[in-house]
Amino acid sequence: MMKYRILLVIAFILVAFQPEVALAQDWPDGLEIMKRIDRNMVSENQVVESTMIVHGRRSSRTITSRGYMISDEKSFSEYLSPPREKGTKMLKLEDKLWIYSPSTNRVIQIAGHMLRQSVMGSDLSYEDFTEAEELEEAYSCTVVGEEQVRDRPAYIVELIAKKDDLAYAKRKVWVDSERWIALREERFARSGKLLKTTDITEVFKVQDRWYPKHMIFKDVLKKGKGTEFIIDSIQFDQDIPEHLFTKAALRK
Amino acid sequence: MVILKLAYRNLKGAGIRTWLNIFVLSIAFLAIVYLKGMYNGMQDQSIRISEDTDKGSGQYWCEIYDPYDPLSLPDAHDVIPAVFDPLREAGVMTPVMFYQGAIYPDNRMKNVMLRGADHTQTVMNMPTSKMNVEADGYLPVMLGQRMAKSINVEKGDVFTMQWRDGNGAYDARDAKVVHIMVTDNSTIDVGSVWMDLALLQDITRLENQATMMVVDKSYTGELPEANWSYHSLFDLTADIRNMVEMKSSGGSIFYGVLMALALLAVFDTQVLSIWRRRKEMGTLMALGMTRMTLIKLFTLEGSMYGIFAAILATLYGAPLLYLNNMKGLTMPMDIDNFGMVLPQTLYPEYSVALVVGTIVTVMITVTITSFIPVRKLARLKPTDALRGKMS
Repeated sequence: MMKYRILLVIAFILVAFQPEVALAQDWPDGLEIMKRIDRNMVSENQVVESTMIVHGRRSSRTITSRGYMISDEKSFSEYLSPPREKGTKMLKLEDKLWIYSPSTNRVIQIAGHMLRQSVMGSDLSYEDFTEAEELEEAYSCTVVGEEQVRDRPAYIVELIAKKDDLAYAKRKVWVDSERWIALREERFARSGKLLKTTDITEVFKVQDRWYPKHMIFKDVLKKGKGTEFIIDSIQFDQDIPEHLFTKAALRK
Repeated sequence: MVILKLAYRNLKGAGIRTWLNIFVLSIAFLAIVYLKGMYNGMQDQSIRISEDTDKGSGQYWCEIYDPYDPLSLPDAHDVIPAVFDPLREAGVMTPVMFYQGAIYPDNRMKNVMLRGADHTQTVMNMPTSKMNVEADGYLPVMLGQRMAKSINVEKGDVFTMQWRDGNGAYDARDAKVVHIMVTDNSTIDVGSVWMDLALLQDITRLENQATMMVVDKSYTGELPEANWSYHSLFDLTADIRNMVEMKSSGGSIFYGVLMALALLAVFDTQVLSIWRRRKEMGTLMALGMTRMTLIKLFTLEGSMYGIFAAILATLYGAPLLYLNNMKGLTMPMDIDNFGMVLPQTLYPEYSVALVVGTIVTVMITVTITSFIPVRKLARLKPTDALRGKMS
């Protein structure tokens, strides 16, 4: 009788402290989850108006911009405010990035150590803009748990890079299990050190898709409150002229 | 000989006016020697420091490396050619790798150049052996004193280091400062984090790769042929020479102004002499002195200012320059802003050629300056001169 009790206690501890193991069979496939996320996020193209709030040590700056994106390969964005940044444009073609500053009337390619510089003092680096990875293809996705994130049920999906040449060796994504949208993401270095986090604190529905409305990016290695990113408006599958994705368009 | 004695007596007779001219000229003379000596010293010291700590007798660069092209830096590494192995084993050549990264001291990001050097190397005068220590599981790194000061870290401090490995994947580890290097060479200090080459190759997954090979400064043997480009010390220090030349040109304006002031004094004295000594000139001509001898006499008087100035400058300047040569000139400001290799204390270098060259230059300019106002004596009539008139 005593033996049974001990076994029962051990079984209870296993279930209580390793729910992932106990309930693993109920979780959907990690790849399937990523595909469902893509259905929300991926479109032929997007036109986005957004606001970025950069929290500095003493004050915060608000920067608005309009961006045009065709898949992950091409993007063109123009800063609309504040007046100091107005007219600054950024062009990304695959892994190359150019920036145009109206004050100098020059187009410069952002490369080398400049890619690590922060964009407008935010927690985002230029390098973050050049990353273009199909998550489901590049990573092996495994559901490792379930958790409530800001009162929403979420699966924890662990993404391990399939190849050595991916920017992040490991990612961890908390996915809303009803709306199929990421609520939180952590990106890790090859050594396992946490580098960056993204918290999606508000989502909204656009054209039958759930899409992030308010995000907070944080470079964990840096001090600070992170950078807020708010999607003011988004339109999918628009007619975007191809000439926008040329260096000549930066000076116009 | 007569005019020499006469010129000397005339100068002596002029009293304080002569000594003032000589003193002003001697200051200009000394300033030229001092400044030129400082620039010579600056150039020689900079080249010597570069040779000793960084450049050796030359460097082999991998194909992509171009220090003037920041876009080339992320890919500026390649497998070390086997042809270098004999010289590496003989200890006269050592590999160095540059790799871009970032550090986060006090959670603030700073872009840095991760530099890897073999901890056993003796080619570069750097305490690389200090990097070969156990650092409690952290990456052991060495910083220069300027870098440590700029990021406010000391020996034993830990900060996070981030980089993208050879495949492009982000990696980050905590690094511990195991040694603070004191060096006169700011180019291997500012913005650099040094670590053992094997460790840098390991964390970047770039096995047996390097950016350059540095050849020992004492090596005079044959250099191997390789697909890496060879750059001699002379090529590598062209920047230093150009910089010193540029600064020297700037300095020449200063001593040009000084010389102009001194020569103006000589010129004025000559003009005044001719005006005040008309009757004396007439008497000399009446006694049989030709116009040409008269011109020689007055020109010689002017030139003697130069001779006496050189003697005076030697008398009070030699001890000053000697003292300066011994103690050097400690720069009161952060000389790293000069953008070149410079020691904190500059020692001038005075050569015989420098001193003789300066004496000759000063003598020629003083003679010409003395001659210009004297030219009009060629038309002087002795009768007019005796009456105190200039024709």
